[in-house]
Amino acid sequence: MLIPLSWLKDYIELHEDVDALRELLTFSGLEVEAVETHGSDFEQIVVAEITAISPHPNADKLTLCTIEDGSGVPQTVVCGAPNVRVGMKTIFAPVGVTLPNGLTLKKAKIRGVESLGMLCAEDELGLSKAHDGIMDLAADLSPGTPAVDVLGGPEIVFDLEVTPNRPDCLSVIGVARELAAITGRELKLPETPLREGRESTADRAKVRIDDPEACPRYTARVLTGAHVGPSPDWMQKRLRLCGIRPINNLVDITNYVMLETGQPLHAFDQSLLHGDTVIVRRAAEGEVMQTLDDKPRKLSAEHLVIADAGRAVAVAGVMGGADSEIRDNTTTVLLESAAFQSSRVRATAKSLGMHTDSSYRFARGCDMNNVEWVSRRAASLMQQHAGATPLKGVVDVWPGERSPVQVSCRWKKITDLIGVDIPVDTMRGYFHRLGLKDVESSDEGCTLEIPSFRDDLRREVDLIEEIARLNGLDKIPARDPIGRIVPTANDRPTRRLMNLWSRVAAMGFNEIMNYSLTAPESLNALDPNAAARQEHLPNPISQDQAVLRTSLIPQMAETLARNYARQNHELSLFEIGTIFLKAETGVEEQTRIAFGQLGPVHRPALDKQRPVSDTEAFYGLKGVVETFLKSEGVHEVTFIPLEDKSFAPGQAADILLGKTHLGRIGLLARELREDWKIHEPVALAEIILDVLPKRKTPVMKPVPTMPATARDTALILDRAVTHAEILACIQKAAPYELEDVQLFDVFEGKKLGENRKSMAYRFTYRNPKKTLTDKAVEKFHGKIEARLMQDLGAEIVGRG
Amino acid sequence: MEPGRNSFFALNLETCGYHQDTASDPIILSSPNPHIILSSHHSVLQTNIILLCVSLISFYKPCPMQLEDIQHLTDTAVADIAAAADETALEAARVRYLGRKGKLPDIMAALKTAAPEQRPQYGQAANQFKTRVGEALDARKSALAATATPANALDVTRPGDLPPLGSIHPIRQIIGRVTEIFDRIGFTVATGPDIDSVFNNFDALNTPADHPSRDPQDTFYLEDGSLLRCHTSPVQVRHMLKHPPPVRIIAPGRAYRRDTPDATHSANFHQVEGLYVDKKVSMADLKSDLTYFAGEVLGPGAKARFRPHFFPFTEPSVEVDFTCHVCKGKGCRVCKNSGWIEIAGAGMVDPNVFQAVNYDPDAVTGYAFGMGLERIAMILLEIDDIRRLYDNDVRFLRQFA
Repeated sequence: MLIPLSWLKDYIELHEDVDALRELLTFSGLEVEAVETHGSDFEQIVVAEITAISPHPNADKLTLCTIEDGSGVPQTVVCGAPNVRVGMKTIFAPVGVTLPNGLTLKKAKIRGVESLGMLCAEDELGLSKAHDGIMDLAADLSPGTPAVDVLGGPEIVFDLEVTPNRPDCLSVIGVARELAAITGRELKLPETPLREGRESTADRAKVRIDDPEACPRYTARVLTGAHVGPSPDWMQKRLRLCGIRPINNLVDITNYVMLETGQPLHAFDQSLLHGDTVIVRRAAEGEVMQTLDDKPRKLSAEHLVIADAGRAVAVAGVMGGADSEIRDNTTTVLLESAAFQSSRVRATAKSLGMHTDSSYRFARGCDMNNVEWVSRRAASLMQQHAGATPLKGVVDVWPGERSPVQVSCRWKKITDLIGVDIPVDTMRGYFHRLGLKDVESSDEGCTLEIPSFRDDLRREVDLIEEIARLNGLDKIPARDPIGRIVPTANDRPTRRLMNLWSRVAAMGFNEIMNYSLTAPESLNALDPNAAARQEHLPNPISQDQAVLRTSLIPQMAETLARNYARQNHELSLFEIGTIFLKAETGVEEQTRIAFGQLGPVHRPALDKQRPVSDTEAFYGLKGVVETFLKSEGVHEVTFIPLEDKSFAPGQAADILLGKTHLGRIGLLARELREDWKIHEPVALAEIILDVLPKRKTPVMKPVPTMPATARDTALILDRAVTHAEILACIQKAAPYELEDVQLFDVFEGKKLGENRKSMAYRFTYRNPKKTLTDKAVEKFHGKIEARLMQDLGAEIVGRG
Repeated sequence: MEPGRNSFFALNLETCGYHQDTASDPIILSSPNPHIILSSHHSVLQTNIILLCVSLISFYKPCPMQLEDIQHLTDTAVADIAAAADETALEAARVRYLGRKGKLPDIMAALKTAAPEQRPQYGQAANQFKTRVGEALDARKSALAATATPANALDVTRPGDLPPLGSIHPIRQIIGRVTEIFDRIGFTVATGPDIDSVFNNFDALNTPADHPSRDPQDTFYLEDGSLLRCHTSPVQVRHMLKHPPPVRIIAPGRAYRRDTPDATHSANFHQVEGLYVDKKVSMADLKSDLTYFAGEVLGPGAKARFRPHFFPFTEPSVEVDFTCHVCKGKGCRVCKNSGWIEIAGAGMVDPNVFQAVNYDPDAVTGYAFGMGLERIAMILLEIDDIRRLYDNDVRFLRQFA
């Protein structure tokens, strides 16, 4: 929202400098997002007349203009503007001048012809962004007049962020009124003198509102004898400062008054309207009209239109129609000033994709009480600047006129909520400055009548905000905080997670974070089992983020690959995040942890060159997972072989705790990693954190005092026999004294024979109450070995 | 032999008078008697030269030692031994003073030839020589042993076997810091799901029915009509629906908006939400607590300031700026010369929100605030692009270990 400072000063006295005003506006709630400076003092820049034009000898698009700049000496300037003509008054900047856009003019030859300066367009003078041609000034200006006399001095423009609750500030007067309330100064509204004609408006125009909910008020004025031409320079300049292109006096006045008051207006050429009745109605389904921007618009019954006897002539509150717009020969104007329901305009603008200055203001809400005054203001300007005569009176249809809103508040409630003691009289003063009128006021509180432009004030708390604002938020003290323990939230799960992050990081893993949304192809490739449980977004931004992730593994693999491609070859990553599984009803969320490892990251410095084998990669990450689970109090997990397309065959496992599925681990399928040009194993694992059992506080078990006895046994058996099967077999023959069994060597080789392997275990025996004799240990161990031979066909090849 | 040495020998062999070698050779001093006293420096070569020199001297049948010569010799020997550079030099020194062809026999000879009445003094001097030289040899020996480089010495400058450097993601670190600070003033952490209902995300938070944020252009809806929460505020609603007042919670979490990703926008991001509801909670409480937070997170002296704003779920609503941590409020590039950085949105819980969760808006008041954690991470850690936080390049992540 652009507000030129000089315009603001028409309605309120402001002696503060720009920085002070910026603070004042920002801390009252109209945040100044930027302060722009347009134009300058234009030193040495003057008005000049083009006295002759000749073509440039070396360039088709350039001309040589002879100009008179008041010095009496004709000068030649090379100009590229399309709009040069003899007799034109424009702006001349001689060599040596630095233009407001930063360009310094130097004596230079342009395509072989020397130019003694430059004829300027608006953008070069910092007046606007326009560069369609050099400035075309009023013909009566004399050459040599300083540019600052014509263009005015530098202009400050505030760019304000107006919050949605304050549509009343979407205008220059609105901002001035707000500043008046903050500073306690007077707001000066413009005079609206009218010399009305004898004929009555009501005889020339009628208004019929078919949908009073969508159009609570509609006023029409008719002006005759208008002369269409350019609007005054000052008006054009203000429009430009606010980013609006001047068109002609009548259209400019409607725009100018909209910027000034916040009330959008529309001017019809009445001679182009059929019949004398303006009808406010819903569009017929499929009705088509051509809007001002020359685009055909297909309308529906959801859209409110302004229509004449035959057709729609405007999309109400959004844009006028092309075939009833003001033209160069327009003489009779029908001026519309109306109130349209904000939600209707918002929906219409959205469905038609037409977001205009008008729809923006209506969508936020306009001051219904002001509709007629604004019409009068515009008519007054049309009389002054377009020679138009307004007919007598105004047609004002206002079926649902509403009585003013009243709101009550309690003084104590105000000061309690703000936390500052404010004297009651001071608070009353603030209300009055805001234009709120006392209906009733006591020591306890007051009831106030709310002005129509402050429709946002409906409740006590809205009034509290006004007091807080006007009194100054900087008056609210900051004390030392007062703690209060309210142990309502159960934050144990979060605390467990927090702990976990540090623990995994301490194991040398880097935490990553991926988006919750990902590409379905990526999920399908790397989480094949979850295809049925993917939740696709109906309105994704892109295919890359079209589905909620069902696992952390796909993005983990992608992250490893992305890093690898960037020559980060030693990677230990983890992610803790939410995944989403479509269920019968709704979508189930789970918190999981994923691990990913690639390269010799955990090897000593001098052992990095050797390639990482599948065994090292798999058991390395498996160890991490096991340690991680142990640190979470989970000891008795089992790993069972898993066939999963995303993992290499025979190199993956499901992780179970009893019958509970905890997750999976494996080496990424070779084809998948080769696609990423990764020629070494990629280890991946994922654990579902939600299913981990609650942690129990450990209770001390006695630390053994008796010595242990160890026995080593090496077995040769079938390659297919697993470690788990061996342990299970040992378990069957294990005495109470068997404390621990550790695998310490695995060997496979030709000399063992086809499909055979050797596995060596260390058995630890201990009786916590007494020292075991060799004989006893021998007996225990013999039994176990016998069992291994008998059940698994194991051959005992070494013992110690 | 180099000329310096020749002249040295000449000098020493010609005269028994006291002199210092003038040929600028610092190695050898001669004494006022015919004995050559060695104040050796460091190399074995030098020592050998000196020994040669000593053996040459013995041809010249020196006159017997005087008492003061013995005392002087003792001092010199002790100094000489103390300066022995290594074990070889030390052994040479031992031979030189205590060896069969060393100084000790001369001393013993002097003792024999001494006048009987002087003998006890000579005896004492000779004992002293033996004791002090012996001690000096022992002391130097253990000193040399202490500084020796053993054969199995390690090159301590070689790189260690580094365990890989783990790290916690910057966003998680910020979450940790924020929750820890509020934890200290009595907030508990509350959480909610990423997928939530329209009621919790919008309706209960007083969002008007046609508010733009409800638009499918801005918010991700799922097929069943639920949505990916567009802020962490639904946790407030969930919590208040479950617990009667008072409540004092902090709720970090992930939120989603349908923004096209760029340097400052991401389809999912993290927020932390704070809520305190009780009898008589005021804006002063809000400012006090956020000022405390500012000081904890940005350093002592950091302040919070309020600017009026508008949010549907709070009234009054404010935007909260903290003192710029880089310039301490003086104005710099980071804060665009304002001295302040925008950190949070906040306000007093709107009575309509209380009604939606069945709280009595006349009995309780409360404050709520929300902060974007990516934004805070980017400001504090000077991260230039939000996408880096989701790109997960280890060279980036390890910087924040």
